[in-house]
Amino acid sequence: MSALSKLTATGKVWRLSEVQATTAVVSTGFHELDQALAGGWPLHTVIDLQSQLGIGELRLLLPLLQQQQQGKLLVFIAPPLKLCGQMLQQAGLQLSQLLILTPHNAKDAFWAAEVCLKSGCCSAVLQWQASLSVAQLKRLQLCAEQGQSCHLLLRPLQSQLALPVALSLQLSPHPLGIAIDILKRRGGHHRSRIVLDWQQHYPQLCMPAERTAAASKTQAALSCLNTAPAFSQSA
Amino acid sequence: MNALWLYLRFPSLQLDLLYQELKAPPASDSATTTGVEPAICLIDNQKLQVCQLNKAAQQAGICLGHNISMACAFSPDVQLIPYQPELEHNQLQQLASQLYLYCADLALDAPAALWLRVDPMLQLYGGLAPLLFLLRQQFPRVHILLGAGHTAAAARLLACDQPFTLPFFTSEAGVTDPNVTTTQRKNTTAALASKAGNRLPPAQLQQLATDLQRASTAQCNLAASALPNDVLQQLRALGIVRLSQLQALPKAELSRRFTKTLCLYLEELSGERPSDLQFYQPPEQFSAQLELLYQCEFVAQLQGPLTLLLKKLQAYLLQRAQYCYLLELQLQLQQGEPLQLSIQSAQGEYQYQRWLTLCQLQLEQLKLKAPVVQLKLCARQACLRPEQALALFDRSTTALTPAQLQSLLLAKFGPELLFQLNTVPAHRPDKANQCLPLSSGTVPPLKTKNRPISDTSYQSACTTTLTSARATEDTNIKSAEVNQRGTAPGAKLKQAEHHNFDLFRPAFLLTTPVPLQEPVQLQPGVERLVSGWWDGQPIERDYQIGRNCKGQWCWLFRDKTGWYLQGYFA
Repeated sequence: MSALSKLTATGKVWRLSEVQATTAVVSTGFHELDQALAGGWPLHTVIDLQSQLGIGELRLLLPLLQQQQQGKLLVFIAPPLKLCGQMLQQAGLQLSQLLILTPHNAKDAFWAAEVCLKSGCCSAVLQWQASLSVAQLKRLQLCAEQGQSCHLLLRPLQSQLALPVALSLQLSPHPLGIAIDILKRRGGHHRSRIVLDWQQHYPQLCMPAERTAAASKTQAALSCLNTAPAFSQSA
Repeated sequence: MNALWLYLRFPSLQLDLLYQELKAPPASDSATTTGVEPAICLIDNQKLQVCQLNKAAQQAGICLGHNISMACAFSPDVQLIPYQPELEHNQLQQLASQLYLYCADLALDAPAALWLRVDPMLQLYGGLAPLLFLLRQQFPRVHILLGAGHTAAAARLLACDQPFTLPFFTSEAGVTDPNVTTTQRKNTTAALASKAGNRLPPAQLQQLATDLQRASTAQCNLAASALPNDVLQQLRALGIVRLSQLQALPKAELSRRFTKTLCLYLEELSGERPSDLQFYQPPEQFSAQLELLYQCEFVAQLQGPLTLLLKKLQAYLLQRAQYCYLLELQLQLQQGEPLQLSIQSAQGEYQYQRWLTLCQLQLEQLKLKAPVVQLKLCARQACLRPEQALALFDRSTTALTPAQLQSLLLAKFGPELLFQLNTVPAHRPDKANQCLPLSSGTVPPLKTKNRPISDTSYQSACTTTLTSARATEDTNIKSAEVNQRGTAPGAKLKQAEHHNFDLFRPAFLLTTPVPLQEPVQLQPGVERLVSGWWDGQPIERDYQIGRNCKGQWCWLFRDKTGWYLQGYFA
């Protein structure tokens, strides 16, 4: 025991809980997630988000994007579908400060991400790209630090080993909102899973338990509606 | 004091500038490189004669007026280049634009000469010699023949008949022209070292002074004058060769014997009548071109010549305190149509490095079908440089402004891959959400004054919430009711905008709705959109939110033909 205390005193051994968060963080806007991430999103780094399309992954990032925009550009690189301006505007983003880039190939996308991150005038770069090499990620990391920007990498679910990023999350659908697996967090403890309840934030995208039970009925109704013309009786 | 005119003649302008731009050796090296310089002659296309030649060609024995075969006989490896009057005139324009900064009374005499009226400037520069020194500094490698007179016509006559060669020297190394004798060289260096007003060698100043004197007495050969050929012929037949002979004759006799042109010319010479000169006006826009001596087959080779042009642009813009927004670069190919590139900078730039980066991004994507032989650069949009306040101790030195970043991306990807979102007040989701190509620098204003006719400007366009299971959607109903009540159009628009904020819209929209293929679990609450019957794209849709078996939140609608998927709530 005395040996351990000696080592602790010299700083050769330390407790993880004593490590100060070296990187700046910003609140995610969701209390449970803030707690799980020890304060919020790490800033000026690469955040890896693995998710399938359309489970609320962008809504998770909206508070971050909105806080960080502050007159800077927000760049979306290679979004899978057309983005809806109304939704982004409602979230408080300045559409005039938003750029959407649809490059022809992954190489160009990487070039653009690098330039935008390095420029120092982008609050965040959102990039939809299936795979990035470790070397590319490290370069993006350096660029993000240099330009004081955030790189948010959105990928489909991966079986790949964890990439050298500050934060890696896996998002999965959940009837109550969204389930988040923290795959990797720099300075963090271990893998953990939390479920964000969106009843307060987006009640439209929640399915409380009692309604899940009644799901089969709705589906039956839906099949009926499909056959009958919808507007015949309203006229 | 009488007027003082300088007439500058550039006997080998095209040849000199060819060297200056493409090789651009340091001027001090020119004495050593002359030994290895190839003999170059410019050939007049019509006469097929040598019309300009360099030192090496002269040493080989070639003279002006030799034809091609003679030139080749004297020096078998002589390089023959066609003489292009238009190009030379263009180069003259460039010289003029440079000179204009030092002396604004400037008139061009095509193809390669110009007048300067210097007497108003003498006081500013402290005499004629410093002014000439300045001229020499401006064009360190151009041969200049000079004539000075109290009238423009006299200056021209002197420059053509007994020109005074403006010697080469540079600011540091003294005389570099090998023609100038060593004694003169010493004189020049001495004069330079003294940094006194008289920077020209004293002997040559003396000569200049006699030139000026002669301008009044004019012992010149009339063959060098600007008189038309038939008059000269007539004079020669009478045995009149020199100007003094002509001036000795009484005017009344001359006017009886000769046409009016001779009298007018004599009056111009003596200053009784001003010469009819077209004074030079600098162009409003920058334009420069560069002939390539070699054929550029690869885009990477263009960097050097392009840098030269961009440096010229930088000098031009710096002098005027301007920024440029749009450059047009024309690559003349050996065969086929010239390639046109337009390079934009959203912020406006003058520094050549920034422009070079933008140009390179565009050039990288270019495939050359034929070698490039000429570059031409035009600056299209320029404006006064706005005053900028930059942080003195900014730690991020490489920081770009948003506009600069946009220009970089535009240069790399072009406007077809770069978009910006915009919303207009409309009920139809495809109308309300616009994805506009990014035009350079002009961020589409969110609130335009001239709105397009939108769905909500029609009173009867209605949004009704049919069923609502939630308290939150009551607000939806209220706003819809307000919408239907019918108010002033302006107020209506405002409400529509406000109403837009209550809508719950997905993050991703499909460009065209696809028929629903999978079972979904519907959320309560329907949004009915009936709109667009006035423009031929009517919709009657009931929108609902649903969750499919993969857990994706879908934006669905039902119309008369069935269920469709419109977007995803990401």
